[in-house]
Amino acid sequence: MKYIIICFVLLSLNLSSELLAQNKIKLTNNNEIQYLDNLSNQKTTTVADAFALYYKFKFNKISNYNTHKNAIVKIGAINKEEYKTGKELLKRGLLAQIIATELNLKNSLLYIIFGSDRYAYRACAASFIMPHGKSSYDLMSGQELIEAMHFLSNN
Amino acid sequence: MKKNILLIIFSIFLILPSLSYSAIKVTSTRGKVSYSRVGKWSPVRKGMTLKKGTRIMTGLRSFAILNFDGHTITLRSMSKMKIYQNLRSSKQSINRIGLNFGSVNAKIKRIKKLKTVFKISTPVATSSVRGTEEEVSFWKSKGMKIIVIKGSIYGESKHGTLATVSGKQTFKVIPGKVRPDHLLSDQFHQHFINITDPNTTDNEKEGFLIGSADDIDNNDIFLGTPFSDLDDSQVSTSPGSQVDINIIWP
Repeated sequence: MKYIIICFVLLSLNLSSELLAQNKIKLTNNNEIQYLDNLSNQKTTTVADAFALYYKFKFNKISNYNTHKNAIVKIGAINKEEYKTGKELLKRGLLAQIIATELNLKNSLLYIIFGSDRYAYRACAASFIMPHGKSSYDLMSGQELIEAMHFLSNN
Repeated sequence: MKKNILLIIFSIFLILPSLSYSAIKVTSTRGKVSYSRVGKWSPVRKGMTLKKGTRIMTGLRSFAILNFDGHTITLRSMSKMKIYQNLRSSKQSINRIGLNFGSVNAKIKRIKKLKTVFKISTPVATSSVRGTEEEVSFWKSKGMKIIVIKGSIYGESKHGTLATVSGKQTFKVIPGKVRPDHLLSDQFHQHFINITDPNTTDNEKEGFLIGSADDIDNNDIFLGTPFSDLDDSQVSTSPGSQVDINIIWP
Protein backbone atom coordinates (compact mmCIF):
# COMPACT_ATOMS: atom_id res chain seq x y z
CA MET A 1 0.00 0.00 0.00
CA LYS A 2 2.82 2.37 0.95
CA TYR A 3 4.59 1.72 -2.33
CA ILE A 4 1.42 2.42 -4.30
CA ILE A 5 1.00 5.78 -2.54
CA ILE A 6 4.65 6.70 -3.12
CA CYS A 7 4.40 5.78 -6.81
CA PHE A 8 1.21 7.78 -7.15
CA VAL A 9 2.78 10.86 -5.52
CA LEU A 10 5.89 10.62 -7.71
CA LEU A 11 3.81 10.21 -10.87
CA SER A 12 1.58 13.17 -10.05
CA LEU A 13 4.62 15.36 -9.29
CA ASN A 14 6.14 14.42 -12.62
CA LEU A 15 2.93 15.16 -14.49
CA SER A 16 2.34 18.46 -12.70
CA SER A 17 5.83 19.71 -13.51
CA GLU A 18 5.15 19.14 -17.19
CA LEU A 19 1.81 20.87 -16.95
CA LEU A 20 3.35 23.81 -15.09
CA ALA A 21 6.00 24.12 -17.80
CA GLN A 22 3.35 24.54 -20.43
CA ASN A 23 1.78 27.93 -20.90
CA LYS A 24 -1.78 27.56 -19.64
CA ILE A 25 -3.05 29.84 -22.40
CA LYS A 26 -2.42 28.88 -26.01
CA LEU A 27 -1.48 31.63 -28.42
CA THR A 28 -4.26 32.42 -30.87
CA ASN A 29 -4.83 35.27 -33.29
CA ASN A 30 -6.84 37.20 -30.70
CA ASN A 31 -5.16 36.76 -27.32
CA GLU A 32 -1.57 37.83 -27.95
CA ILE A 33 -1.27 40.28 -25.04
CA GLN A 34 -2.91 37.98 -22.53
CA TYR A 35 -0.70 35.12 -23.71
CA LEU A 36 2.48 37.23 -23.39
CA ASP A 37 1.45 38.48 -19.95
CA ASN A 38 0.96 34.90 -18.81
CA LEU A 39 4.19 33.78 -20.50
CA SER A 40 6.24 36.47 -18.76
CA ASN A 41 5.52 34.83 -15.40
CA GLN A 42 6.52 31.32 -16.48
CA LYS A 43 9.78 29.87 -15.16
CA THR A 44 10.09 27.52 -18.10
CA THR A 45 8.67 27.49 -21.60
CA THR A 46 8.18 24.89 -24.27
CA VAL A 47 9.43 24.50 -27.79
CA ALA A 48 5.86 25.01 -29.02
CA ASP A 49 5.78 28.49 -27.42
CA ALA A 50 8.97 29.52 -29.20
CA PHE A 51 7.83 28.16 -32.57
CA ALA A 52 4.43 29.86 -32.24
CA LEU A 53 5.97 33.25 -31.40
CA TYR A 54 8.45 32.96 -34.25
CA TYR A 55 5.67 32.12 -36.69
CA LYS A 56 3.60 35.04 -35.42
CA PHE A 57 6.61 37.34 -35.81
CA LYS A 58 7.25 36.13 -39.35
CA PHE A 59 3.72 35.82 -40.75
CA ASN A 60 1.58 37.85 -38.33
CA LYS A 61 -0.80 34.93 -37.73
CA ILE A 62 -1.10 31.69 -35.81
CA SER A 63 -1.61 28.19 -37.17
CA ASN A 64 -1.04 24.70 -35.74
CA TYR A 65 2.18 23.31 -34.26
CA ASN A 66 3.28 21.49 -37.40
CA THR A 67 2.96 24.61 -39.53
CA HIS A 68 4.97 26.59 -36.98
CA LYS A 69 7.61 23.85 -36.91
CA ASN A 70 7.86 23.70 -40.70
CA ALA A 71 8.64 27.42 -40.77
CA ILE A 72 11.60 26.78 -38.44
CA VAL A 73 12.70 23.76 -40.53
CA LYS A 74 12.50 25.92 -43.65
CA ILE A 75 15.01 28.45 -42.36
CA GLY A 76 17.34 25.60 -41.44
CA ALA A 77 17.36 26.03 -37.67
CA ILE A 78 16.20 22.46 -36.92
CA ASN A 79 15.73 19.12 -38.69
CA LYS A 80 12.30 17.76 -39.57
CA GLU A 81 12.73 14.74 -37.28
CA GLU A 82 13.33 16.84 -34.17
CA TYR A 83 10.74 18.15 -31.68
CA LYS A 84 7.79 16.04 -32.82
CA THR A 85 5.40 17.07 -30.05
CA GLY A 86 6.60 20.56 -29.07
CA LYS A 87 6.16 19.75 -25.39
CA GLU A 88 9.92 19.64 -24.83
CA LEU A 89 11.25 22.39 -22.58
CA LEU A 90 12.88 25.21 -24.49
CA LYS A 91 16.65 25.46 -24.13
CA ARG A 92 18.83 28.50 -24.74
CA GLY A 93 20.74 26.77 -27.54
CA LEU A 94 17.63 26.11 -29.63
CA LEU A 95 16.37 29.68 -29.23
CA ALA A 96 19.82 31.00 -30.11
CA GLN A 97 19.84 28.77 -33.19
CA ILE A 98 16.51 30.21 -34.36
CA ILE A 99 17.66 33.81 -33.82
CA ALA A 100 21.13 33.34 -35.30
CA THR A 101 19.63 31.69 -38.39
CA GLU A 102 16.93 34.33 -38.80
CA LEU A 103 19.37 37.22 -38.41
CA ASN A 104 22.17 35.44 -40.28
CA LEU A 105 24.69 36.29 -37.56
CA LYS A 106 28.26 36.16 -38.77
CA ASN A 107 30.23 37.22 -35.72
CA SER A 108 31.28 33.73 -34.69
CA LEU A 109 33.63 31.81 -36.95
CA LEU A 110 32.87 28.59 -35.11
CA TYR A 111 29.13 29.11 -35.66
CA ILE A 112 29.71 29.70 -39.37
CA ILE A 113 31.73 26.47 -39.58
CA PHE A 114 29.81 24.15 -37.27
CA GLY A 115 26.36 25.80 -36.96
CA SER A 116 25.61 24.10 -33.65
CA ASP A 117 23.42 25.40 -30.80
CA ARG A 118 26.49 26.00 -28.63
CA TYR A 119 28.08 28.37 -31.12
CA ALA A 120 24.75 29.92 -32.06
CA TYR A 121 24.50 31.01 -28.41
CA ARG A 122 28.01 32.49 -28.62
CA ALA A 123 27.03 34.44 -31.72
CA CYS A 124 23.89 35.74 -29.93
CA ALA A 125 25.89 36.69 -26.84
CA ALA A 126 28.41 38.56 -28.99
CA SER A 127 25.52 40.46 -30.59
CA PHE A 128 24.17 41.34 -27.10
CA ILE A 129 20.95 39.44 -27.77
CA MET A 130 21.66 37.04 -24.90
CA PRO A 131 23.69 37.55 -21.74
CA HIS A 132 27.26 36.24 -21.50
CA GLY A 133 28.39 33.42 -19.30
CA LYS A 134 25.38 31.16 -19.76
CA SER A 135 25.01 27.68 -21.18
CA SER A 136 23.21 26.56 -24.31
CA TYR A 137 21.57 23.87 -22.15
CA ASP A 138 19.88 26.38 -19.81
CA LEU A 139 16.10 26.24 -19.72
CA MET A 140 14.52 29.47 -20.93
CA SER A 141 12.01 31.35 -18.83
CA GLY A 142 9.03 33.11 -20.37
CA GLN A 143 10.64 36.50 -19.97
CA GLU A 144 13.84 35.33 -21.66
CA LEU A 145 11.82 34.08 -24.63
CA ILE A 146 9.99 37.41 -24.79
CA GLU A 147 13.34 39.22 -24.60
CA ALA A 148 14.66 37.33 -27.61
CA MET A 149 11.48 38.04 -29.58
CA HIS A 150 11.69 41.70 -28.51
CA PHE A 151 15.11 41.87 -30.12
CA LEU A 152 13.83 40.29 -33.34
CA SER A 153 10.79 42.55 -33.34
CA ASN A 154 12.78 45.76 -32.90
CA ASN A 155 15.51 45.00 -35.43
CA MET B 1 -26.30 75.35 8.40
CA LYS B 2 -27.32 74.32 4.89
CA LYS B 3 -25.65 77.43 3.48
CA ASN B 4 -22.40 76.57 5.25
CA ILE B 5 -22.40 73.04 3.87
CA LEU B 6 -23.07 74.35 0.37
CA LEU B 7 -20.26 76.88 0.72
CA ILE B 8 -17.82 74.16 1.85
CA ILE B 9 -18.77 71.88 -1.08
CA PHE B 10 -18.49 74.76 -3.57
CA SER B 11 -15.06 75.80 -2.26
CA ILE B 12 -13.83 72.19 -2.50
CA PHE B 13 -14.79 72.15 -6.19
CA LEU B 14 -12.97 75.44 -6.65
CA ILE B 15 -9.79 74.18 -4.97
CA LEU B 16 -9.61 70.70 -6.55
CA PRO B 17 -8.80 71.75 -10.18
CA SER B 18 -5.90 73.93 -9.02
CA LEU B 19 -4.27 71.03 -7.16
CA SER B 20 -3.60 68.68 -10.06
CA TYR B 21 -5.14 66.70 -12.83
CA SER B 22 -3.66 64.04 -15.00
CA ALA B 23 -3.83 63.55 -18.74
CA ILE B 24 -2.03 60.77 -20.53
CA LYS B 25 -3.12 60.57 -24.13
CA VAL B 26 -2.40 57.83 -26.59
CA THR B 27 -0.91 59.61 -29.58
CA SER B 28 -0.26 56.66 -31.83
CA THR B 29 -0.27 52.87 -31.83
CA ARG B 30 0.72 50.10 -34.17
CA GLY B 31 -0.07 46.41 -33.94
CA LYS B 32 -1.39 44.87 -30.71
CA VAL B 33 -1.41 47.28 -27.80
CA SER B 34 -3.58 46.69 -24.74
CA TYR B 35 -4.22 48.27 -21.36
CA SER B 36 -5.43 46.86 -18.09
CA ARG B 37 -6.60 48.34 -14.79
CA VAL B 38 -8.34 45.52 -13.00
CA GLY B 39 -6.80 42.51 -14.72
CA LYS B 40 -8.63 42.23 -18.00
CA TRP B 41 -6.77 43.40 -21.10
CA SER B 42 -8.55 45.73 -23.49
CA PRO B 43 -7.27 47.21 -26.76
CA VAL B 44 -5.75 50.69 -26.72
CA ARG B 45 -7.06 53.12 -29.30
CA LYS B 46 -5.49 56.29 -30.61
CA GLY B 47 -6.75 59.36 -28.77
CA MET B 48 -7.89 57.61 -25.61
CA THR B 49 -6.90 58.88 -22.16
CA LEU B 50 -5.16 56.65 -19.65
CA LYS B 51 -5.09 57.06 -15.89
CA LYS B 52 -2.74 56.39 -13.03
CA GLY B 53 -2.58 52.69 -12.17
CA THR B 54 -2.99 51.54 -15.79
CA ARG B 55 -0.77 48.82 -17.22
CA ILE B 56 0.08 48.94 -20.91
CA MET B 57 1.57 46.14 -22.95
CA THR B 58 2.62 45.79 -26.57
CA GLY B 59 2.83 42.68 -28.73
CA LEU B 60 5.09 41.59 -31.57
CA ARG B 61 5.97 44.30 -34.10
CA SER B 62 3.90 46.82 -32.10
CA PHE B 63 4.45 50.08 -30.29
CA ALA B 64 2.51 52.78 -28.48
CA ILE B 65 3.32 56.48 -28.26
CA LEU B 66 1.96 58.23 -25.18
CA ASN B 67 1.84 61.92 -24.35
CA PHE B 68 2.38 62.73 -20.67
CA ASP B 69 1.56 66.46 -20.53
CA GLY B 70 3.90 67.26 -23.41
CA HIS B 71 6.47 64.53 -22.69
CA THR B 72 6.59 61.66 -25.19
CA ILE B 73 6.98 58.04 -24.15
CA THR B 74 7.30 55.35 -26.80
CA LEU B 75 6.68 51.84 -25.52
CA ARG B 76 8.53 49.48 -27.83
CA SER B 77 7.30 46.05 -28.90
CA MET B 78 7.04 43.16 -26.42
CA SER B 79 7.14 45.57 -23.49
CA LYS B 80 5.03 46.21 -20.41
CA MET B 81 4.83 49.26 -18.21
CA LYS B 82 2.63 50.73 -15.47
CA ILE B 83 1.71 54.35 -14.82
CA TYR B 84 2.39 55.12 -11.17
CA GLN B 85 2.01 58.87 -11.07
CA ASN B 86 0.90 61.65 -13.37
CA LEU B 87 0.58 64.99 -11.61
CA ARG B 88 0.45 68.42 -13.16
CA SER B 89 -0.08 71.80 -11.58
CA SER B 90 0.87 75.36 -12.45
CA LYS B 91 4.26 74.92 -10.75
CA GLN B 92 5.26 71.31 -11.30
CA SER B 93 4.91 68.25 -13.50
CA ILE B 94 5.61 64.92 -11.81
CA ASN B 95 5.43 61.64 -13.66
CA ARG B 96 6.51 58.18 -12.66
CA ILE B 97 6.28 54.99 -14.69
CA GLY B 98 7.41 51.47 -13.91
CA LEU B 99 8.93 49.32 -16.63
CA ASN B 100 8.12 45.64 -15.93
CA PHE B 101 10.09 44.44 -18.93
CA GLY B 102 10.98 45.63 -22.42
CA SER B 103 12.11 49.06 -23.47
CA VAL B 104 10.85 52.63 -23.70
CA ASN B 105 12.10 55.77 -25.36
CA ALA B 106 11.48 58.89 -23.30
CA LYS B 107 11.64 62.43 -24.70
CA ILE B 108 11.23 64.79 -21.79
CA LYS B 109 10.65 68.47 -22.40
CA ARG B 110 12.32 71.07 -20.28
CA ILE B 111 9.71 73.69 -19.55
CA LYS B 112 10.88 76.97 -18.02
CA LYS B 113 9.47 77.93 -14.61
CA LEU B 114 8.00 74.46 -14.25
CA LYS B 115 9.61 71.87 -12.01
CA THR B 116 9.68 68.71 -14.13
CA VAL B 117 10.30 65.31 -12.64
CA PHE B 118 10.06 62.20 -14.79
CA LYS B 119 11.13 58.92 -13.30
CA ILE B 120 11.32 55.51 -14.96
CA SER B 121 11.64 52.72 -12.41
CA THR B 122 12.58 49.09 -12.82
CA PRO B 123 13.08 46.39 -10.15
CA VAL B 124 16.81 47.25 -9.94
CA ALA B 125 17.16 50.99 -10.54
CA THR B 126 15.47 54.28 -11.38
CA SER B 127 16.32 56.93 -13.92
CA SER B 128 15.40 60.54 -13.32
CA VAL B 129 15.28 62.78 -16.34
CA ARG B 130 14.79 66.41 -17.23
CA GLY B 131 15.14 67.95 -20.65
CA THR B 132 16.51 64.78 -22.18
CA GLU B 133 15.94 61.86 -24.47
CA GLU B 134 16.84 58.41 -23.31
CA GLU B 135 16.30 54.77 -24.10
CA VAL B 136 15.58 52.59 -21.08
CA SER B 137 15.35 48.82 -21.13
CA PHE B 138 14.92 46.18 -18.47
CA TRP B 139 15.09 42.39 -18.56
CA LYS B 140 15.54 40.05 -15.59
CA SER B 141 18.57 38.41 -17.22
CA LYS B 142 20.33 41.63 -18.27
CA GLY B 143 19.09 44.17 -15.75
CA MET B 144 18.39 47.81 -16.47
CA LYS B 145 20.19 49.72 -19.19
CA ILE B 146 19.89 53.44 -19.89
CA ILE B 147 21.32 54.95 -23.05
CA VAL B 148 21.26 58.73 -23.02
CA ILE B 149 20.57 60.11 -26.48
CA LYS B 150 20.33 63.78 -25.53
CA GLY B 151 21.03 65.73 -22.35
CA SER B 152 21.84 63.98 -19.10
CA ILE B 153 20.04 61.88 -16.51
CA TYR B 154 20.52 60.61 -12.99
CA GLY B 155 20.63 56.87 -12.55
CA GLU B 156 20.11 55.41 -9.11
CA SER B 157 20.35 51.73 -8.24
CA LYS B 158 18.08 50.30 -5.55
CA HIS B 159 21.12 50.15 -3.26
CA GLY B 160 21.46 53.93 -3.49
CA THR B 161 24.37 54.25 -5.93
CA LEU B 162 23.92 57.45 -7.95
CA ALA B 163 25.42 58.36 -11.31
CA THR B 164 25.01 61.26 -13.75
CA VAL B 165 24.91 59.85 -17.26
CA SER B 166 25.31 61.74 -20.51
CA GLY B 167 26.84 61.46 -23.98
CA LYS B 168 27.92 57.94 -24.95
CA GLN B 169 27.81 56.68 -21.39
CA THR B 170 25.51 53.80 -20.45
CA PHE B 171 24.00 53.23 -17.04
CA LYS B 172 23.72 49.49 -16.49
CA VAL B 173 22.56 47.73 -13.35
CA ILE B 174 22.53 43.95 -13.38
CA PRO B 175 20.34 42.07 -10.85
CA GLY B 176 22.45 40.87 -7.94
CA LYS B 177 25.15 43.50 -8.38
CA VAL B 178 25.33 46.33 -5.86
CA ARG B 179 27.06 48.83 -8.14
CA PRO B 180 26.21 49.73 -11.71
CA ASP B 181 28.68 48.77 -14.45
CA HIS B 182 31.31 51.24 -15.61
CA LEU B 183 29.62 54.06 -17.54
CA LEU B 184 31.78 53.30 -20.58
CA SER B 185 31.36 49.52 -20.35
CA ASP B 186 29.58 49.38 -23.71
CA GLN B 187 32.49 51.17 -25.37
CA PHE B 188 34.95 48.66 -23.92
CA HIS B 189 33.49 46.04 -26.22
CA GLN B 190 35.39 47.70 -29.01
CA HIS B 191 39.14 47.28 -28.92
CA PHE B 192 40.75 50.63 -28.24
CA ILE B 193 43.78 49.74 -30.31
CA ASN B 194 44.02 47.40 -33.27
CA ILE B 195 47.43 46.51 -34.62
CA THR B 196 47.60 44.97 -38.07
CA ASP B 197 50.24 44.06 -40.61
CA PRO B 198 50.74 46.78 -43.26
CA ASN B 199 49.67 44.36 -46.00
CA THR B 200 46.32 43.53 -44.37
CA THR B 201 43.40 44.36 -46.65
CA ASP B 202 40.12 45.89 -45.42
CA ASN B 203 38.34 42.57 -46.00
CA GLU B 204 40.88 40.75 -43.88
CA LYS B 205 40.51 43.32 -41.11
CA GLU B 206 36.76 42.72 -41.21
CA GLY B 207 37.43 39.01 -41.03
CA PHE B 208 39.37 39.45 -37.80
CA LEU B 209 36.17 40.76 -36.21
CA ILE B 210 34.32 37.51 -37.05
CA GLY B 211 36.30 35.63 -34.48
CA SER B 212 35.46 38.07 -31.68
CA ALA B 213 32.47 36.03 -30.46
CA ASP B 214 34.70 33.01 -29.97
CA ASP B 215 36.65 34.85 -27.30
CA ILE B 216 33.69 35.10 -24.97
CA ASP B 217 34.94 32.35 -22.70
CA ASN B 218 37.58 34.77 -21.51
CA ASN B 219 35.43 37.76 -20.72
CA ASP B 220 38.37 40.12 -20.25
CA ILE B 221 39.59 39.57 -23.78
CA PHE B 222 36.10 39.93 -25.19
CA LEU B 223 35.50 43.20 -23.37
CA GLY B 224 38.61 44.63 -25.00
CA THR B 225 41.87 45.28 -23.29
CA PRO B 226 42.71 48.94 -22.74
CA PHE B 227 46.13 49.66 -24.16
CA SER B 228 47.55 50.52 -20.76
CA ASP B 229 46.94 46.94 -19.59
CA LEU B 230 48.84 45.28 -22.46
CA ASP B 231 52.35 44.12 -21.67
CA ASP B 232 55.25 43.57 -24.09
CA SER B 233 54.44 39.89 -24.54
CA GLN B 234 51.02 40.75 -25.97
CA VAL B 235 52.05 43.62 -28.19
CA SER B 236 54.56 43.02 -30.95
CA THR B 237 54.65 44.76 -34.25
CA SER B 238 56.69 44.32 -37.41
CA PRO B 239 58.15 47.42 -39.09
CA GLY B 240 55.50 49.38 -40.92
CA SER B 241 52.54 47.86 -39.05
CA GLN B 242 49.39 49.87 -39.05
CA VAL B 243 48.13 51.03 -35.70
CA ASP B 244 44.50 52.18 -35.47
CA ILE B 245 43.59 54.07 -32.33
CA ASN B 246 39.90 54.29 -31.49
CA ILE B 247 39.28 57.36 -29.33
CA ILE B 248 35.98 57.38 -27.47
CA TRP B 249 34.76 60.92 -26.71
CA PRO B 250 31.71 60.72 -24.43
